[in-house]
This record gives sequence, C-alpha cells and structure tokens, in this order.
Amino acid sequence: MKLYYLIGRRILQVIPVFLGVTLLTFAVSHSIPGDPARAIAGIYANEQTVEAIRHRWGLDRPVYEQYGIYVKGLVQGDLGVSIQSRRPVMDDISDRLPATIELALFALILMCLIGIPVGVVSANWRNKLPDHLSRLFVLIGGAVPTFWLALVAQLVFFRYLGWLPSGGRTSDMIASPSHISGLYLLDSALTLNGAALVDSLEHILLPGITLALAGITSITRMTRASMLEVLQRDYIKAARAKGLSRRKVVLKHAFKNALIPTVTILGMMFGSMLSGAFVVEWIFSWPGLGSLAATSITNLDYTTIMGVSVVIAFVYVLANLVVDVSYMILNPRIRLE
Amino acid sequence: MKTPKAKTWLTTLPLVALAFVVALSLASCAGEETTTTTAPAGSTETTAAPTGPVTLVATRNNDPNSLDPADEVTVGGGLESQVAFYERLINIGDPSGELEPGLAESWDASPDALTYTFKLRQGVKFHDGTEFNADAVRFTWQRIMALEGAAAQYWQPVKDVVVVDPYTVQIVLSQVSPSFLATLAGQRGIYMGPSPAAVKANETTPGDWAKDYFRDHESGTGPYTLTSWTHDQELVYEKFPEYWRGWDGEHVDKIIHRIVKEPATARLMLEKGEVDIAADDLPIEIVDQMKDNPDIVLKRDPTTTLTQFTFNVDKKPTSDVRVRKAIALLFDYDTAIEGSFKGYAKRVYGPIPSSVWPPIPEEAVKYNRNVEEAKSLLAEAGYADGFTLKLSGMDILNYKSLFQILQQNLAEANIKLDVEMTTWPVLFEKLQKPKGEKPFDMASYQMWAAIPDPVDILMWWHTSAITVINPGWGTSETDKMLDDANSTMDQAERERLYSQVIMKLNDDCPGIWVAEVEHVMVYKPWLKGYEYIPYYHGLVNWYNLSIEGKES
Repeated sequence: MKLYYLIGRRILQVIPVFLGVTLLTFAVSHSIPGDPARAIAGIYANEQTVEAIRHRWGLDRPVYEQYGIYVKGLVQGDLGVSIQSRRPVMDDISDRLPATIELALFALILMCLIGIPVGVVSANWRNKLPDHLSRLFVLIGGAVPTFWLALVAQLVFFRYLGWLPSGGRTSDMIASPSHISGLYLLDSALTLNGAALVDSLEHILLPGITLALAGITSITRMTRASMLEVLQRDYIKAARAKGLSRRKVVLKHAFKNALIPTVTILGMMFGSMLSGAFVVEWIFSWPGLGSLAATSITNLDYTTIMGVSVVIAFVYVLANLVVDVSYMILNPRIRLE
Repeated sequence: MKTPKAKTWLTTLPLVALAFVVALSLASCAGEETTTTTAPAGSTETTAAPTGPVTLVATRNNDPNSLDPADEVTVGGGLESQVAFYERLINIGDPSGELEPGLAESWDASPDALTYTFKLRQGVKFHDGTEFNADAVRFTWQRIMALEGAAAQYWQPVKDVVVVDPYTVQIVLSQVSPSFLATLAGQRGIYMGPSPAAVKANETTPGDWAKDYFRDHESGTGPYTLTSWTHDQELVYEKFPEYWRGWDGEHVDKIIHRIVKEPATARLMLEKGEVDIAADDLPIEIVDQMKDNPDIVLKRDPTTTLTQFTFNVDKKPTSDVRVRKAIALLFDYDTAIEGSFKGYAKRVYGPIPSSVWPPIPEEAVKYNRNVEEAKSLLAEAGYADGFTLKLSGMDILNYKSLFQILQQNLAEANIKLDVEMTTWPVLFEKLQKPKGEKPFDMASYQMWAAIPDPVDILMWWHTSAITVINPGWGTSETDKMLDDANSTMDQAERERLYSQVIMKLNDDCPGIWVAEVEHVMVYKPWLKGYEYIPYYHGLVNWYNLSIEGKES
C-alpha cells in the first residue's frame, strides 16, 4: 500500500472523529448544570445584565442551533470566542499549544532515552540484578502519583537546594527567545541565544522529568516484554548460531523489531500528555493547554473546553499517523499488508 | 535503505545539535550581559552598590479575563490588575468606610438627593497623554451603558451625566439611592476610562467602543501602565511618570504580576523570596503553615465576609421554622471556627458582619449550640426519628471540614446530611432556580459587602432577589422594609428598618450565619505599605507599596 494513500485515508478518517468529538464534548459540557452568562456577569449582576450577556453570546438560542453554529465555524477554522477571556479560542490555544508541545516532546525524549535502554537491559539480563533494579525503578515510577512527585521535586530542587526554578517558562531577567516555533528550547538554539537556552532548559527540567517519570514505566515494560518475545524467535537463534555476537544480535536484529509496540505506546502517550499534563502544568505554572483546560472546566467556559478537545483530538490523530508511518519505516512489510 | 527524506533529516540533525552546543557555550557570557543590563545608566565603579529599578513580584492565581473595566468587574477576573491602571472619582479611605477624594476633589448632593456634583482634579492625564476632564466622565458612562457589559448594572440608577464645565460634572439619578456615593467609591464597575481619544483611535469599526482592544490594553489615569501580558504567565506594569500624585516617597517602579495557580507553589516561592507578596487569597491551610516563619508577615484583618448556610424554605422539612432553628442549635460554631478556619474567623450572630452597620440588635434571637433544645424542637415538629438533607456547597478547601462538622453535629439528632461540593458557577445555577424548584435543602457559600452600606448584603433577602441568593425567604412586609431603607436618605430611619429586617431574619432563621472570616495577607518583611480595606477585598493598592531593606 502506497504511503500517500495511507496518509490520505487517515486524513479522511479525521472528519468523523472530529464530528464525534465535538458532538460528545458539546453534549457533555451542556449537560453540566451551570450558567456561563452568570459566570461572565459576576455574582452581583442583576438578571437584566445576565440576560443581555446571554443574548450577546448566543446562549439563549436552542442547543442544536448553538451546535450548528459551532460546527459551521469549525469548518471555517473558527473555534468560537472564549466565554472567559472573550478572545477567539484559537488565539488562546495558539498561545498555549507551543508550551505544551515543548513539554510533551521533552518528556517524550526523556522517556525514550531512559525507558528504552532500561527495557533492553532488563530483557537482556532477565531475572538478574539489572532486571531486578530496573523493575524496581519501574514499579516506583508507576506507583508514585504525579502531583506528589511534582510537589516533592519542587520542594527539594527549588526550595531546599535552589538548583532549579519553581515554575514558569522563563525568568524575569531573561527575555524570551525570538518567536520561530514557539518552542523556547528550539528557538533559542536556532537564534544562538545561549542565555535563553540555559534558562528555558532550567525551567523545563522539573516539569519535564516529572511528566516523563510516569510514562517511563510503560515504555520500559513494553520494551522489556517485546524484547523478551523477539529474543525467543528462531531468526535470533539463527543469528547467534551463525556466530554473531550477542551484543550485535540484540542491538541490530532484535531491538528494531521489538520497537514496534513501544512506538505505538509513544504515539498514544504524546497525545495523552497534551491533555493529561494539566497536573504538572498547574503545579509548575507551565502556561500550556492542560492548564487552560483545567481553568476552563472550573469556569464552565464551554467554547474553550470544546476548542481544546478538538485540538487534542487533532494532535492524537496526527500522532497516530506518525506512528503508522514509523511502522512502515521500522518494518517495510507493513506497507504491503 | 535510507530514503532521501531520511538523509535530509540525518544531515540536519547534527546542525541543530551544533546550534544547541554553540548556544550553550555562549550561555555564560550572555548570562552576564543580562545581569548587567539592570545597572543604572551612568553608574561607575566608584559608586556605591548599583540600584536598578525597584521591582515588586506578586502572585495571582489565574490569567485575567479582561482588563476593560466596562466588561469585567470581578476580583480574579481582572479587577485586581485594572486598579493599577484605572481610578475612581472617590475612594474609600480606610476600613471604617470613610469616603475620600480620588479623581474628584470634592462633591455635593442636591437637596432632593437626585443630582450629585463633582469637582474634578485638574492636571490629571490618561496614559495616552490626553487630559482627564468632565467629558471623559460622561464618555465613560456612555461607553459602559452602550457595551451593556457587567459594569452597566452599577450605573442603572443614573439618568444622565452632565458636563457643567471642563472640571465640573453632574450625575443625575432617576431615583433616590442612599448607597450611590458608596457604590461610586466601591470596587466594581465605576472606573474612569479608557481615555476617549484612545477608544476612538482603536475602534475596529466606528462605534464599537474599542471593546476588543481594551481587553488586553489599557488607557487609564492610574499609577501604572501595562507593559506586557504573557497569557497564563505574567503581567508586567511600569510606573506612569506623569501620574498626578507624583512619585515622591517610596514606591516601586515595576510590578511583575505572576500567575501561579497552585497555592503550594506560591507558598514555596514566597518562602524562598522569589515573590514579595502572594497578592490573592491563599487557602487558610496554606497560610496557617507559614505562621511560625519569621521571614513571612501574616497580616490579619477583619473582613465583611460571612460564611453561611441557607435553608430551602419552600421544601419539607426545612420549610418548618422549628427544624431550621434546631439545626442552628445543633451546629458547633466554636469547633467550626477552630477546625475549619484555623481560628482566622470569629462568631457572627446574624446576617450582617460586625464591620457593617447596623449592629445585630441586642434583642435579636441568637443561636448557640444546645443539643437538648434542638432535639425537643425536632420532636415538637414531628421529626424525632430524623431525616435526610441534601447540602450543596462551594468547593473551597476549608469548607470540606466545615461540612464534616455539620454532618457530625446533625447525626446527633439522627439527621443524615448528604453533601455535594461544586464549583461556584454550578452552585450558582442551583441557587438561582425559581422559588420552589431549588434542588437542595441547604446551601453554603460566602457573602460579603463590597460597599460600606448594608444594602449590599441585605438586598439578597428581597424576594425579587430569589434568582440569586435568597433561598425563597421573604414577604411583602420584609420587601417593603428593604425597599424603604433603600429609598430614603434619612440615616436613622435606614438603621431602624435594617435592624427590623435583621430581627426578622434571626427569628425566622432562613440561614445559619457561621462566622466572619478574617483576611490574611502573606508577604515578605521588606514589603511596606500594604493595607487591607475590606470593601476593596482582593485588591491591592499598588501605588502605596514599597520595598525597603531587601537584599539583592
């Protein structure tokens, strides 16, 4: 199957996914009791003011009509106006999306750099000391709640040791790097802005590591399991039999094939980190999508809740597309199926 | 086999990596450059320790919704930033509620109390350099009313704003409003600006009053201007050199208002000295953990805020006054104050805090814990075997323990309490259901007076206010008392009428008034000039703050 055909098919699949997401989010967010017009007007507003606001925001129209207007706008790339900030939702999201993508990518890279080697080592020395140690590490990493880890990391590395900042993306003294991608690490590297690079790196370390630690568990487990499975295969035995060193067999022949399930997990993790990083973003004052979503939910900001859901659905689909393409690079036979 | 695309990636990767390494190696030099930029121009090696602009760092727990005073009137929504840029005609000068001049130097009322004449201060400039005058006051009113935003409600008694001369303006009311001046000096909806010239210059379409532009820009007359706003990160304000009060004495040059959503993080930052003041209310549990820290100042002040439970008076069994009184007698007020409020609160014996007049009359019925009396009242009402109640309460950290205390207390009389904690907008939806349809037996939330006048807290017991707070209580007789009190300028008569309403409320017991909560602001000892005025709850007078003796 041609690569572009597969990509085209995936893109077509996006349409029903989006419609489903908007319908579901719309239904859920509108079934929660709460009056957004009152939230805008404030507690002391009289009914006349609330009514004026309700009318101005189209909240007095029938629900199906509100949904129709929303979908029509969505087709034109308009996610509506945030009830809370009164700005276009697209603007609010574009302000925060780069921060979340940067954090998720950073955590994902850490997960790969730590999780995959630990998984390989663990499988290679099955039931030996390195395996026991790595399994213990994985168990602890998976058992510790993220919010607790975040608070403890902050307490130790910011409050007591003073090595890293408590949160945010940059320090007051350091200007943000020129906007190219919105990812501060990348932008400061591309513009050779050393001060901003170090500052951004210092700021992303704690939230990045905290976010990564939870995910490393799954990556290590998956890599270990699939490595063990691959190492039992006949072609591995054949490779060993023909005299290849164990190191070469593991790294060259087994590792590549064992990566496929791990890549699947990585794709899904990236998607879930965009939406699920809100605890880490909240505690580390990271100005990302998760933080925006959490605030919108508390304030019944329907339009932002829906906007964030649509964007996350989009990124999920995109991440899955990347995973599919990675499969084909890792195992060309998949392309033929 | 590698594809051409893969090759491109492979050749680009080392370049990006190289850029990273070069950038990192430049880091230390650049770091030094950055720190030297704070030294004042012209400083030499022979001068004393260099002093840069004095910067104050304050935390706030959310991104503002809007900086337009016509559109956003809530603390937390943007008001706490707006007060750095915009000012009022008159102000509340101290906790007693005394009014003092602001942009107006003096004011007087006509004998019929329908026309208020304000003499405006001369030489006041908006941040765009144009002059503040009577036309600007009229323009502000016109803009607020045209936008129909949240601020419009505070101008509803106003029939017209008349420019008498460039520095004299009259506000004409359609009906007598004894609390009008207090409202004008209060904290919501009455800020002057943005400047007419700036509005005209930034209209997207003629007549749109530049409503989009002023959500994230400002043009007021206040002490600080907005330098930058990075959403969900920080707002930066810098002093307005031409501010009419001048910059003699101790002030700060720059304010960084940093958004820190997690209170535990704000606490760490304050302890570490990374911020000077946690300028919004931290939960009392967090504040209490800092009480023994000698490097933190805990400033405690009485507020006008009440914590209360209200009863659904249209639904059995709370429609029976004996049941309501029994519950008020079962509640353990002292344990609640010590347990839920950590002692940062005091008892209140009626629907009005002690900081707002009139005082609770001596002869008013007061409720203290008396389990036996409560049980006999319940038996008399036919509920000796108990019943189940549903409580909807605000999801505030310390309310959880408050509700647990109530649950335990009620269990002593076989009353089961189901608690449902929700966010404010969801609770509000329930509260504002029409009389008879409210989906709870009891509700719990805070109330407070934002102006030094009882109307702000007692008006919610008017039957026309059932859409908001009133749980269905009131008769034509109590409505008349409230209406009369709000339409006469006779202070003695107003006190008498409000005292009668309080007596009636205490007697009918449509609510349990638990405590007057203290306000506790936490800041570093080097921060000077902080003063809490209950009517400006949640707002900081940025101009009065200074930093003295802070080690750099």
